[in-house]
Amino acid sequence: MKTILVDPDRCMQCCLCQQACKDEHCDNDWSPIAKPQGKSQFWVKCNETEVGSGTRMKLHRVTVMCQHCSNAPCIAAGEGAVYRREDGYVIIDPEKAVGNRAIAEACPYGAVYYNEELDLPQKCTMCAHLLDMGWKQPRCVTACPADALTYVDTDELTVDNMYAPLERLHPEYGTDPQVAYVNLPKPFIAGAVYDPKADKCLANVLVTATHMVTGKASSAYSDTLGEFRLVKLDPGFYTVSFFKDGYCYKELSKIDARVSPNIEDVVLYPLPS
Amino acid sequence: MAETPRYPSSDGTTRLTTCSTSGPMFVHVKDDKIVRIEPMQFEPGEAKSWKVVQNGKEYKPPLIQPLLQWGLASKQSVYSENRVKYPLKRVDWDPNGERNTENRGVSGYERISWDEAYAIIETEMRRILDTYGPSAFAYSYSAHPEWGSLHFLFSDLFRFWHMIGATHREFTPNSWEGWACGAPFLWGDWQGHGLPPATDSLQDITRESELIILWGTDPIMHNTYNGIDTGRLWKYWNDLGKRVIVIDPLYNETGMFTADSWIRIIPGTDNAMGCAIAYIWITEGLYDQEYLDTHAVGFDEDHLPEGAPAGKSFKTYILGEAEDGIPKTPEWASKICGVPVRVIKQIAYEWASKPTSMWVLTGGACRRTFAHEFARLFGTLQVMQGFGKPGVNMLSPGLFIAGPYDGEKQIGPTGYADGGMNVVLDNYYPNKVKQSITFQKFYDCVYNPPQKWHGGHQDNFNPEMYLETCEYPMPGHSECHFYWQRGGTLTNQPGKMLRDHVAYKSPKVETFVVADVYFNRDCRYADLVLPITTLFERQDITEPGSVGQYVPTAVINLRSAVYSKKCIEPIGESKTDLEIFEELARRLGYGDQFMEGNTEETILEKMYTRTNIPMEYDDFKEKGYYVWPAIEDYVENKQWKDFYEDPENHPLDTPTGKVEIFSTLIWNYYGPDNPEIPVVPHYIEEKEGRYDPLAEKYPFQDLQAHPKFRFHGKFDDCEWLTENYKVYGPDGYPYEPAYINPDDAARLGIEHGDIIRAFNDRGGVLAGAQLTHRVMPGVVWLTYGAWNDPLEPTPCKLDRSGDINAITNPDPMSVHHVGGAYNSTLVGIEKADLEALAREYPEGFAGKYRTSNWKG
Repeated sequence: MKTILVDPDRCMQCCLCQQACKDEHCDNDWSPIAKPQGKSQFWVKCNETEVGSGTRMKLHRVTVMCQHCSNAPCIAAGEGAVYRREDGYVIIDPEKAVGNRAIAEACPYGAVYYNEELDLPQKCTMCAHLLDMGWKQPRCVTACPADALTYVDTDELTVDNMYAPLERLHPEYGTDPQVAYVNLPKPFIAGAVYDPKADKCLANVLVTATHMVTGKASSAYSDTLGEFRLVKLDPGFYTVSFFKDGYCYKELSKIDARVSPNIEDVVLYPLPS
Repeated sequence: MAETPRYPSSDGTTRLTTCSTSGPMFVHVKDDKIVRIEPMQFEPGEAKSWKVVQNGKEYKPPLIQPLLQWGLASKQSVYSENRVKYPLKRVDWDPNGERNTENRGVSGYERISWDEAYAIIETEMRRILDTYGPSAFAYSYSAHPEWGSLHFLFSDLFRFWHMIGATHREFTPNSWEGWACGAPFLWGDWQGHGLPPATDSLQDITRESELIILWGTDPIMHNTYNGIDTGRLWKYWNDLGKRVIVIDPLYNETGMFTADSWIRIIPGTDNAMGCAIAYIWITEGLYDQEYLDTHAVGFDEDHLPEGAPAGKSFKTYILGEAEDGIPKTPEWASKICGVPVRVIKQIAYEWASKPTSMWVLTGGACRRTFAHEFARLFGTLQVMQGFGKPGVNMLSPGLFIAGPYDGEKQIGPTGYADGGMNVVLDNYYPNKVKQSITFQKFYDCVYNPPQKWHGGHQDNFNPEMYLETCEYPMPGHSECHFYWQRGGTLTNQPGKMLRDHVAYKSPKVETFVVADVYFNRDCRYADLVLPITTLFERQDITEPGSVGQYVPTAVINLRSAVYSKKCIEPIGESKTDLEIFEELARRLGYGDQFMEGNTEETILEKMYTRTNIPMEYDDFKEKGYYVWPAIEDYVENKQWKDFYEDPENHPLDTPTGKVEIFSTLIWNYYGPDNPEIPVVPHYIEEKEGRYDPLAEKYPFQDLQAHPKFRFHGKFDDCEWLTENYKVYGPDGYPYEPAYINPDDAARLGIEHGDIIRAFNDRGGVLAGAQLTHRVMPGVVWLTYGAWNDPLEPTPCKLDRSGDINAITNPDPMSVHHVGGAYNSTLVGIEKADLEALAREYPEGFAGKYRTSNWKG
């Protein structure tokens, strides 16, 4: 199915996707696909979450829109007012859905808004009215300056032509979402290693985080400033070890990576010569 | 040639083209209404693209040209409630009676007809000419008006006022203040007033640079004409494995998007770290002595300029062998700048060992007290590494990163000059009034004439010119009494707001006319406000990225020309500046001198004829754009390449023709020991900085990194933008965000979303606290450009909108430069008691003094 592919690693929260959406849908009536978008709605929205701390903070920026689920709760709630097109896009019929708040409430992604003025649930249409006119992609994708949003055919994506594994947002909701994601945020452990005797940043320290329950390990070398970042970790508690030739081995345990911790400055002492 | 529609327009719209400050656009119009706005998109194969290839990876400019943040919100700005729709007159300004100038900023406005407006202006101008002569006129402008070439300040405004004769109320290059007033003494002026050119930097960095340092700069989100369109380029450099380090009090957007590491540095202490880097290089031999010997003067005692006093070389200063006796060790620097010694050392080693491109030109560090020292020192550091070598560059966020450029594939002549219509009309009128007022001196000129200063010009074409004296009034000239401003807003620009507000209330300012699209802060002080069209309401020919032709090379996209079609009829009774000046010229007896019998249309055609675009004009207008093909047999010539390779035959524009680490001009003008501008670059503890005793009272350094969703002061009223960053208070008001480190906030008992007051001796502003680790402790990022909403008639005492410029530092940078210290601003922060304030300022909270409240 042709759908939007979201890559949070390429998002700058410029919100051009949101604005393109509003430019297209506010004050414009694209019935029967959609009525004008209500005020303060975000049919596509960049959600920001700050994680980490200090100089190793990070803003996770995940763009969320209607996931055009195969098993869409809004279709069930709509009692005929919400339908799936042949191309897979889920559309709220702006005539039939009048007054049906259950459609908005049914969405576990919070992607359906309620327009009080029109008494109507509203959401992303994948710009179906434009696609039907022969446009090549939805407006938000065209507006994105850094390919954080692209329009792809997921049937054609394989491990060979994808730069990261394909994911879905909250598959545990069980709605079979059809918008695709890569690089969805996961916890990291970050810090910097140095030698306090020489007051020197330590590069090429092998840093390994091992999940204390599953035993799954993840490794990275520190960079020239001694900085390391172990990324895409499963949430949980970790043992983090530091190894470099000529230095005392070090191990930190119970590092809590349910959030993304910045373990700040890690001291490695040179081995006695 | 008929246009082949890219998309069927079965929705009944017509696709037109234009170009804006956010980039080139397709505008879909139906029934004189804008239906949608898209980024301009070229057809594949439409033009032969340039590209760079490195390690098998290719960068090609995109066919869809990304817009900046406000571009897609244009429908909101075009149809904004805050448009000036009709000529307006301040209700209590009577040009034939009481002018009530003290009521500017408080009184409301009434609608008048264009005939009335023209008649008043004509009468006032004749009176001024008869009473004082033309030097009593002063014209000024916003540096960032609506996009255009013909409809641009160097075109219509300059032509009209130079024809009449008027005092130029000018501003200094305040985007790169420290570089503009410092770097020319180090390496000459260049076209960019201290900033070396950018052409071919993109290719050189791609091929040669291994390390990129962003020192206090945010190239992706600096938000002036470009930025976000470089996002793909930065990812390309990431893919090539270029190491990116950001050194900044703020983890900026480019840093978060690309950097491997963020190093937090205390604002205003950059030179301490810079000196320590020089110390490490000198003591460990990690610099290019041979290059310095042939390309520079003043690095060491053996290479001082002729006759210079001994003991004044840079090396002597750095090693602590000069008067201060302080070796500039990393240990010394670390205590000042807060960066660990080991990190300073590692940065020094890494910078010296890898071809390094630095984004350091412009940026917040150059707009502080003594910022010319920042420019001179960081220029010196890169010169120590052989500036001009492959991969060794200095760059600026915005306008100073560029791909191939040949000076021909463009719309018009470039440079800060009288451009636009002046290039194609038969007669050119040099301004007969030589007097000027530098904006930072406006208040002093109004209240305390005579005034003398130097270096206040917008354009200095060589370092010597920088030191020429300006006088106000000049001999044989009048003080100014009639002020004309094209576009806004200037009053919420850096560091002089309070003084401006007070100055505008002076009875000496007899008449103040503002011609603007939006009713902004300057309008609130005007006597007459004239409604101007947006770029969507008139035609023009421009090219993206060139800023009305005064910045030629700043394009990383395909080089293109765009026809700005008149997309909709003017809103209300708005007119172009050109129309207004044409009418005034006729009324004042200049007949046809202004337009020389031309119309907007014929001038555009003449401008077009000067280009090398191989299309008939009508075809160009119909298609709406032209893409120039890649330059054939292109020979790159990146910044400083010629000087690097052959300094004898390509001397710099300095007295010695070399890099003057020891400045002979500074030595001659200020003597060898001026504590505010020494002969070689120094670290000087800044005024109103972290170590100023005032910091005990006001402990936060305010950071004014550009607003992410505004263009300086523009688009503060577009909800599609503001809803992404404003902090909505319990009273529903959209407060400007103040970003604070969570540790500081915890100490002050401030929570995320609380409304706070930031204050100092100058006044206070309200803002919404946003807790984030992006900002280092001791610093608050509360930026400028919100539309003022004073809570009482006394300007700047307490501003609800949160425009920090109400209380920023208006003082000179140093004895050397009249302005530009506004980033050296200390503030205190406390939780605001909104309910108490609402009780104290009922009128203010009702919006009585609000910028947009033109009814008063």
